[in-house]
Amino acid sequence: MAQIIVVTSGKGGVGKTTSSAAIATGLALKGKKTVVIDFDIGLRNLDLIMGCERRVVYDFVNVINGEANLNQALIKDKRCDNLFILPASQTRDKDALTKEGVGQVLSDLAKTFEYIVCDSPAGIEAGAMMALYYADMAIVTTNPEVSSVRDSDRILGILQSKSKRAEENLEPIQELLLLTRYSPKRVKTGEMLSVDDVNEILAIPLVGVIPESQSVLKASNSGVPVILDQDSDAGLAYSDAVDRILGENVPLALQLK
Amino acid sequence: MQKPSIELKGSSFTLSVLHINTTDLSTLTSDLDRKLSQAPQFFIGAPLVLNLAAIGEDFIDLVELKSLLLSRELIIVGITGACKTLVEQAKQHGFAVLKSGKQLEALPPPPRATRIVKQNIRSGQQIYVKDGDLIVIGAVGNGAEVIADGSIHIYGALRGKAMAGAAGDKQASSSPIQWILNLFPLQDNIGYQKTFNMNIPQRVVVFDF
Ligand SMILES: Nc1ncnc2c1ncn2[C@@H]1O[C@H](COP(=O)(O)OP(=O)(O)O)[C@@H](O)[C@H]1O
Ligand SMILES: [Mg+2]
Repeated sequence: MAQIIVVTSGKGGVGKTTSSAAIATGLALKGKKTVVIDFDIGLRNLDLIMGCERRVVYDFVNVINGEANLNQALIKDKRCDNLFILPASQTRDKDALTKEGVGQVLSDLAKTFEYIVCDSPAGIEAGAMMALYYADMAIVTTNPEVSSVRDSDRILGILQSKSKRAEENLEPIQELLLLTRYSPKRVKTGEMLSVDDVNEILAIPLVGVIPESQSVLKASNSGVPVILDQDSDAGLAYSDAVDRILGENVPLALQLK
Repeated sequence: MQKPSIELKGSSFTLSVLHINTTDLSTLTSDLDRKLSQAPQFFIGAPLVLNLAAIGEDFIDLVELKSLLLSRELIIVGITGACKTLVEQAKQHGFAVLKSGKQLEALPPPPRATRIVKQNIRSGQQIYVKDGDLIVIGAVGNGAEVIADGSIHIYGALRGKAMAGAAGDKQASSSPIQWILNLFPLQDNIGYQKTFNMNIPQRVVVFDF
């Protein structure tokens, strides 16, 4: 059974796409057959961060509309054997995604992939709803500041009421907190909330703390997911997060120094 | 100042109630006489209310019954528990029709449902308990709302809105007091203010430790 993971947040610019690319790559490096889907129709940038922008011919919307089949649209990652990217369309709008269409594509992908990572757009409109609707696990990506925490709280409410699992009264979506752009220095000065502060409000298990890091910008500019930069603190933190997603018990010490 | 010729004042008296279980007057007469012979002094001149519930819709001649009782020095002041036709007959002949104390009692208020929610209430979520109480075991997040016509207990941090006694006066009769209980301190330290932005009725008591 494939596991569908949505990387979501409510708020924009918190690191969803960065995290989707890193986590999908990390899962593939662990030998899991993984596909990462860009749900941000009209504002696609997952392919950019994954370094495959020039190889996009067909996209997610083409597949939903029957204009291309999955094999034509899926892009095989150059670095990892087990990794594929399903890019978003740059020319359509969010309404191009239908519940039935998305459901069909996901169930087709589930036949060959172990992990399906869905990079959600910001907001709580159609695109974000589609990205989370079929999820088994949600990585709630949050920056340590009040507005991001509030939006994450809102998304948690939606996961618990508007997802397929909620509507059909199935076992709830597994919710995990991923704190990104964490700066211990700014926590100390009181500019940012601490891990404990965020935990106290959101009260869901913590899957990782990704430090604010120059290496992230460098990685996205060169189209290499930051997790492949194992000299960087952010890359190591994403590796730990992937281990925890896979159920391993990794201590949190590293990034909090 | 001169006293008015009449004054109306409420008062209550204890009356004996004679339950009539048959319409057969001869049986009634012999049973009554046997009863009277047991304690003659007690019954002399006693005002009585006849309870006619046991005979249901059956006919009985109230005038005949009255003269029977009068002949035994018992005075009927009224009837109770009678069917419609007997009530009509009673009114025609100047009997008072009384409602027994039990009938006057208001129905007890319906039991109030209590809803228990064992989860954090997230921003954008609203929980409303109509005609009942709400117990939240978890936090009420900023931008979340918990509302109940009755009381609200929150065993967790309250950062959003809580409104008890939402039904207003309608509910007041069945439960005199609605209250919000919040056992956890609000998280002022991290930029969250006390958002007790509630337009709650006066009789609502907020316990905020
Ligand atoms: N840990 C980090 N350290 C520094 N910059 C980061 C970090 N994570 C994300 N960013 C930057 O934040 C911006 C938004 O990231 P992105 O992943 O596109 O967010 P989203 O998909 O949620 O809109 C990008 O410029 C990205 O480089
Ligand atoms: Mg994005």
